[in-house]
Order: sequence, then C-alpha cells, then structure tokens
Amino acid sequence: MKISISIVSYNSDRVIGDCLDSIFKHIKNVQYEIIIVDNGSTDNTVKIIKNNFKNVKLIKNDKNIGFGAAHNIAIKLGKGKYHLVINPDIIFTENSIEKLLNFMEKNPDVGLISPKIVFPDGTIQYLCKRLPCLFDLCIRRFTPGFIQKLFKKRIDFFEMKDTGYNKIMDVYYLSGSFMLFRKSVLEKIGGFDENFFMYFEDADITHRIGEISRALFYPYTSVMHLWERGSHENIKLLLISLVSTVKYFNKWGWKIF
Amino acid sequence: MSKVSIILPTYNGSQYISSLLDSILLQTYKDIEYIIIDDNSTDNTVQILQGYAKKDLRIKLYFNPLNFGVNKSFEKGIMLSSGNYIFLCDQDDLWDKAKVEKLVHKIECGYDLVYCDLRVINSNGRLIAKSFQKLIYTDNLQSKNLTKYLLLRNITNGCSVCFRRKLIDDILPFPDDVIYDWWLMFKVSLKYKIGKLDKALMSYRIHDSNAIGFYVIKKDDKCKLDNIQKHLNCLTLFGKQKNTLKYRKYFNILFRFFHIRIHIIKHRTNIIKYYFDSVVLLKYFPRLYKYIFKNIIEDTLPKLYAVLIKIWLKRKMGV
Repeated sequence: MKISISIVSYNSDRVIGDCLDSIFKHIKNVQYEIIIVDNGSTDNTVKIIKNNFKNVKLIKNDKNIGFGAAHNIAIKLGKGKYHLVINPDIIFTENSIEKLLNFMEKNPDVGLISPKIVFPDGTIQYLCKRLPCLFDLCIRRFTPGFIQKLFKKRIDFFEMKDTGYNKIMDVYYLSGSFMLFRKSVLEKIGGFDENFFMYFEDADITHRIGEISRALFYPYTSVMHLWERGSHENIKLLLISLVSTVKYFNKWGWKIF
Repeated sequence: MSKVSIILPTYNGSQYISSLLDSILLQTYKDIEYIIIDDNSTDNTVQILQGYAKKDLRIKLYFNPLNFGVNKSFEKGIMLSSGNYIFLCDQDDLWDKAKVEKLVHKIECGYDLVYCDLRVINSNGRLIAKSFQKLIYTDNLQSKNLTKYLLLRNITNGCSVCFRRKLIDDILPFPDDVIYDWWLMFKVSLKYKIGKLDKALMSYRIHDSNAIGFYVIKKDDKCKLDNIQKHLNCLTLFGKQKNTLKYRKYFNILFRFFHIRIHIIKHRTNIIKYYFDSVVLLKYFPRLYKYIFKNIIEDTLPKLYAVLIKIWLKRKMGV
C-alpha cells in the first residue's frame, strides 16, 4: 500500500459524496486506501458512505472526539507508506497525489507537504502562515473590517502573502485541510496532539514536524477547497477555538506580538 | 472564471427540464457557468442532463447521493460556484433570453441583490398573470424598509434574484426548516442594498407538484394551518438573527396575530379580537393592505356565511 487517505467527517453529508467521487475519478497510478472516521454525525453522512462507497473503510464514533483524536485512529489503522489527512470539503481536480508523492520520493528529508489550495473560482486560499502570535489572531478573529484594514500589511505578512505562493517554501503553520505526511515521521512524533479538540492541532503538528524534518508548501499542483462557512458566528465554535488557542500558547510559549 | 453562476437543483423534473435548459443556455449574456445538482432523481432527468452536459461545456453536473431537499442542494451549489454574480433557478420555469444581461446590468449599478418581476404560467404554458408581484400584492413595495415587510410575507421568488458573491458568508448555511428564498431575502435585507426591476423577465410555472406550493391559493384549512406553522418557524428563526432588535415590535405583533389566526381557523371564535389585530397589522404594514384584507376575508367568510344562513333560515321558518 502506497498511501492511506484519512477523512474525518462530522455532519458533512453535502460534500462528502463529491469529495470521494473526485478521489476515485482523479487518483490513478497510485495504490491507495480510504479510511473515514465519522465523529457521530447526526445527518445522512454515514448512510451515504455505506450505500454508495463500498470499498471505503468506515469507523463510527458514538460521540465527537475531536479532529486530532479521530485522525489518530485512522493513522493507527493506515497501512500506507504515506498518510494523507484531508477535510471532507476538499475536491480533487487533477492527480495531485501522484505529483506530491513523486516529490516526496525524491526528497527524503521532507516529512509533511501541502499543495496549493484554491477556491472553486481558482483564487488562492492563503492557508500557509508564519508562527502565530496572539495579536495577529485577535485581529483576524475579533475586530471589525476597518481595523483589519489598518493592520492589513501585518496580516498579509502573517499569511505569507509576500512570498507570492509560487515557489516551494518551508512553512511553520500549514492548514489541516490537506496534509500529506511521511508515515515514518508521523509515527516518530506520535500523531496529532489529542488535547486539541479542534483548531490549532495543525499548527501544533507542523511545528513538531518542523523540529525533526521539513514541512513544505508545494505550489505546482492544486486542490479545490469549498467556501468556508462562517465559524465566527457560532458561539460554540468560537469557544472551542479560544480554548485551543490558550492550549497552543501554553504548549509553545506565549508570543504576544 | 466566469462572471455569472446559475445554480439549478433538479429532482424528477423531466417534464419541463429541457425547455428550461434551452432557455437558460441561450442567454444573450455568454460568460456563464451552469451548476446543476441532481437531487437523486428516479426518472430520466439524469440522462437528459448528461445529454446537455455533453453538448455544452459550461455545464457542471453534480449528483447528490441521497435526496437532500432544495435547501441543501442550493447550499451545495452555491458552495461549488465560482461566479461573481449568482443566480438561483428552479427546474420548471422559463427564462427570457435577456434576463441575465439585464439583471447583471442592474446589479452593477451598485446593488448587492436585485430581483425582477415574473410572469405566471400554468402547466401547459398558458399565461395566468402578467405580474407575480401584483399577484402576491408586493408590487408597490419600496426598498427602504423591506425587512419589515419580509416579516409578514416573502416578497419575491428565489428564481428571480441575482446576488453578489460576497453575500454568501451571511446567507449560508440555509437552516433546514426555512423557505430558502425567504431566508435569503431576509438576511440580505438586514445588511445590504436591494434593487428591484419592475419588468417581468421570466415565466414562473405553477402546477400541482411545485416544490414550494406556498403561493398556490388553496383554501382548505389544513393547508392554511401548515403555511402559518411554516411562517411561525421562519419568524422564530429570523428573530434569532443579529441586528433584528429594532424589529422586535413587529415580531410581537405578528406572533400575536398568527396565534389568533390559528385560533380562528381551528375554532371560528375570537372574531372581534381578530379584526382588531388586523387593524393593528394594517397600521404597521400599510403597503400590504391587499394581502391582509385577502386573508381576513378568506378566514372569516365561512363564519359569516354560517351566520347569514342561520338568520335566513330563521326568517324562512318564521321563528
């Protein structure tokens, strides 16, 4: 087995079908397995996977155990030499995996890689970030638009817009929506930190991988990521992200500016 | 990247789908992407769609693995779309050739959402009404305080709107038990500028199997009660949104009115109270007076008839 793909679904019945369809359609010449961990969805997610996708390994959790913990289950089960972590709202538009794997084979020092992630209209999502500090996070999350405009340059720098996103670069903070790991490196660091329920586990894992190996951004292939729905408005999600932020800074030291 | 995305969910619509597709594919405006989402149809809709998709490369077909319903399908379509301006489309309508062009022209005058008038046709394609706005009594509304009127009733149909991409953060996700176009108009009216084109640019088909038979005038009580219940659900949801505090007064009036209306449909009592509340309603929603009158007459006529017949019988019998 070359690569195991793990997806964690939680109430994602709208998109999961298209995500899996696109994998079956575009990923060729690579031997792969798909492991889906369902975090106790209350909608039709499980039904869709069971009825329409027979050759997918499905693990059902009774309750929502969090993003990192669910992926850890899949990581333990996966038999591949590489491990791919994606969100259910990723849609492949070309054989990205083959390109990424070729690159990983040639560069054994790379432990984690992420391609260019685009909106359906082709514009880039700026998901690579520099080391987060409290100030940047607060501005991006809690302030109205006109204050964000004042600090636009700072936020752009945080989101690495100055690099142009057109060459291979080392990144401190990759997004959890598409991460391709080398399994040996992943096993060495012990998978995701399960203390994080959601958010910031990607920052944490990139950080830890960066210590023993390299985490790269690879711009020569792209995958589609659907429009993010407003998580700012939902108070529960906001609380979760706050808790994760505090945990992250406790772990890696408080960096305020 | 196209400038305009047209989103069309289909479900068992083989009867009218070809004529609709012909009409939207032949728009005078050319830079369009068509996002068609088939909601697990069981008839030959899928074959028809695939036939069209082969001929026209602008069509992007997606299939739902289960029947999701209209709200979720539209939501998915909007998430997958890429155009600057988004049009919603129903599977059994007919669009005029210049619809997209004219609405895009209008929205570029500085609006965030524009809607046009509709003609109403029946299942055979025969014209029923020249203006949908007149039919539902919303033709004389001004865009100044639309939110208020949107609490009383939806002012247009989803297939007549065109809106900018930037609105989608505010309108998604569509809640499950809400009428999607009503929700859309309400959320948009709270924050953005809405424009209206008085010309009818498409034909809206009313037939037995309409997905949203909200406007179909049925006079039996069960249907009325269902509609009121739907309306109340929507209102409860609307009341939970941000920036609705200043409309609190109207919410209260409407809740009271609808509860009395339910009472009068079920038990035919409380008529005086009902008339009194209708007068209050008229005061606050003067532009929809025709709609309010219509409801009052429809709700209380059976009662009036009963009283009249009783009197007539009494006279006749000479008691």
